[in-house]
Amino acid sequence: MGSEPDKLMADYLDAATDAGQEEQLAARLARSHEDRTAAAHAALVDRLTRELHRAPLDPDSVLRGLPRASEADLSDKVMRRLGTASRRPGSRLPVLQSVRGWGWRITATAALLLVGLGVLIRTQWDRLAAPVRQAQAAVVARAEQVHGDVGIVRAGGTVAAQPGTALRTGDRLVVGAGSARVVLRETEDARLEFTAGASAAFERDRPPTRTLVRLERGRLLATVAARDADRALQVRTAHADVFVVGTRFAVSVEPATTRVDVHAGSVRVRARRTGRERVVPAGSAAVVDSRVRLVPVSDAARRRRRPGSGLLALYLFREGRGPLVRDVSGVGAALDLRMDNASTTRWVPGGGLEVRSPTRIASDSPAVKIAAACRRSRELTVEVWVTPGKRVQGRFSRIATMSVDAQTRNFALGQFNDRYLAVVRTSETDAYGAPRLVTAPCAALKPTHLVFTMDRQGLCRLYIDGRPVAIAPSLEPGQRGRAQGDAYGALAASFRHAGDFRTWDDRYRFALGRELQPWHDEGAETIRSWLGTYHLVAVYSRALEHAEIRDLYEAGPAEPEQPRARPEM
Amino acid sequence: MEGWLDVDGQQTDLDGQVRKVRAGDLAAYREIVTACEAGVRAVLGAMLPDHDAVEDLAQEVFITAYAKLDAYRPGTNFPAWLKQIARNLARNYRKRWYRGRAFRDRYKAQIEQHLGTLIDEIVTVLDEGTVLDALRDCIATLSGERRAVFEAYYAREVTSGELAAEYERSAGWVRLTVHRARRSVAECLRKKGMLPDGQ
Repeated sequence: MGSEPDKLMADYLDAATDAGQEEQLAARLARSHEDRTAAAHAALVDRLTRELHRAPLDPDSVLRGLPRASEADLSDKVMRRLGTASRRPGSRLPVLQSVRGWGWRITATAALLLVGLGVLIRTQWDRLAAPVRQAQAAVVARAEQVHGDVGIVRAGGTVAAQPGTALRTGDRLVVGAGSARVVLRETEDARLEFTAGASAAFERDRPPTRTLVRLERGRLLATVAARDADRALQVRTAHADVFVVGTRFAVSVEPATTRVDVHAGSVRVRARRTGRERVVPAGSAAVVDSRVRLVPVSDAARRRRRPGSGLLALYLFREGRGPLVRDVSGVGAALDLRMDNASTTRWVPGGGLEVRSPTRIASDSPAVKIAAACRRSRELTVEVWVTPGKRVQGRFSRIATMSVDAQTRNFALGQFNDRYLAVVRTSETDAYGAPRLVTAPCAALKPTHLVFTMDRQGLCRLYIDGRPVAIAPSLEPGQRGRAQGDAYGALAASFRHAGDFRTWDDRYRFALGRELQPWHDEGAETIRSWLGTYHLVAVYSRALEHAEIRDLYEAGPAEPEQPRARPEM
Repeated sequence: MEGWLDVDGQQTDLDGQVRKVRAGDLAAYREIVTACEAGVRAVLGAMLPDHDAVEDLAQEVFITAYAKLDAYRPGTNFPAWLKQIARNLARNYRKRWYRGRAFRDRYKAQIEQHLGTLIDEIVTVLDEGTVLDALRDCIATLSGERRAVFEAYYAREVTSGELAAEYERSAGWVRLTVHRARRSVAECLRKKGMLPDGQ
């Protein structure tokens, strides 16, 4: 098929032809067997590919113990319609013929009587047995963290949710406005976070196996470890059913649609109005109204895809030019970073910023939003995706820091020789934040996901490439950094700091690549520059959990843009 | 008889299910529908010019098959029997579709008739049980931007105009890129023996 028929056929299959073009194409197909064959093959691929995307793409993840897609969809419709399908006389099959003639009248009358009786009994039963039933109702989940106004509506009243409060079948969770949020544990390995403004009701089968969350409004972020078929979790909104057996995803209810963002694994999403459904894979989002439409995941959506609450600053390094690194978190005032000398850096096509020689990349103004939020929450996470430029870098090279100089900070994350380390100041440490928490030698010249967390109990952890790594406190006397030897305590899974962030200073700026300024007049050496490539930097006002960090690692740094190359011919 | 792989990874004995249905076990028909749905959709999807009709016609296929179940002879090939029903229903649907467009969309009807004749021949020899897997494999062989555009076009159901905006190119470029990907995939299917040479 030549280029002109190709173009005509391309337009035709996209319903972009007018009558004149269709006449031209029809004539061409009538004339040439070769063109006809090529067009038929293309049409076949077009049609089968559409079928491919209507059918489940990943049977394993879809079918692992859930109500089967095809059963729930097509076969249900067939079974319903079979009730009116005619069979020829003499059939050996009992095709619901018993409900014809007088039969249906008798059946309908009996059904009405039964319904009336049922309503009567239920009305009385509800009144008398409500307290007993409430006590016996299956516990669906327990509140683990409660922030702000969170209520549980049950038996006509509302109680305030507290950590440990059980939610039972029939309870309705209502999350207040502002910064309110609640984290529930449905099981040990299933975390459900409802953000401000959310409202949801819960059901669980008896025996307690399947859990149904009816999300009436607002947003739910769920992290669910892989589970057996008979313990499935289902989220239902006005527009959609979302089936999950092990994944990380978010469901947001909008006035006319429901949006499902899948961060790991995959979920099956069904439009309730039409029964249409499809599998939404990791890294994708779907908008559900009468159908389930996959939608592009933009920077904004990617931003939302990161752990919802607690995000304070996010840098994706996709600017591609200029001296500014934009804070794209969308949280509060943007904390953009400015390079001192853009000629010492290189924007990496597709995302990333390579720092080739010492450069300060710092906010113009103090990072007040970080200090204030962490002081309130008493938790912190610093996440970076970086590729070190040198495997061994000297003297606590700063990857990210909120500080004044080499000795005075709120927190810092960096590299020391071939180790990674973190320092955080609390009300029980000095302004340096000693002791430094150091990993074993592990730095390598490859993209590395490095995350530091501190929770409100003071537990500090470091994760590399999605896995927690052992850390050791430095044993330097005086903690003023004068001794630079490898004097460390024993490696352990975590380190507990006393105190909290009440002594953090709002005036410190946030910076990448080096310290904000030399320490006193001790020279350029104390700027502690780090060389390498930044792919992503994020700061949160809460300690992310291991499952979340693993998902972030698996999701990779910011997705590269498609190159704008010429089309393949 | 030929077994079909059902959703639990078990070989479903379709003849056994047919016998159960004949003995009055209506639920057994659900398993038949589940096991055969993809194959039926592949046949209908290939033959119908109107994609939205596939699901409705798939229901018709199973309802018709149920009504005619006594005509099926166990020990022969149930999927092939079902495929024949699907082809017949699809042909009838197409005839109506051609007639409906003969006046207002006459050239479209002509195009579809040209395509339909060849597609019928292909469907006759099409292995509907494996063609979707083969298609998936062939799509995976596309490279670079062509694959990205192709997958976005079909998987996300966005229009060529929307994709053009994303890629900062023209809608014509999107359509041509997708079409060239179709032809590459078709060539791959032909090499796998899924499509005839067309000679």
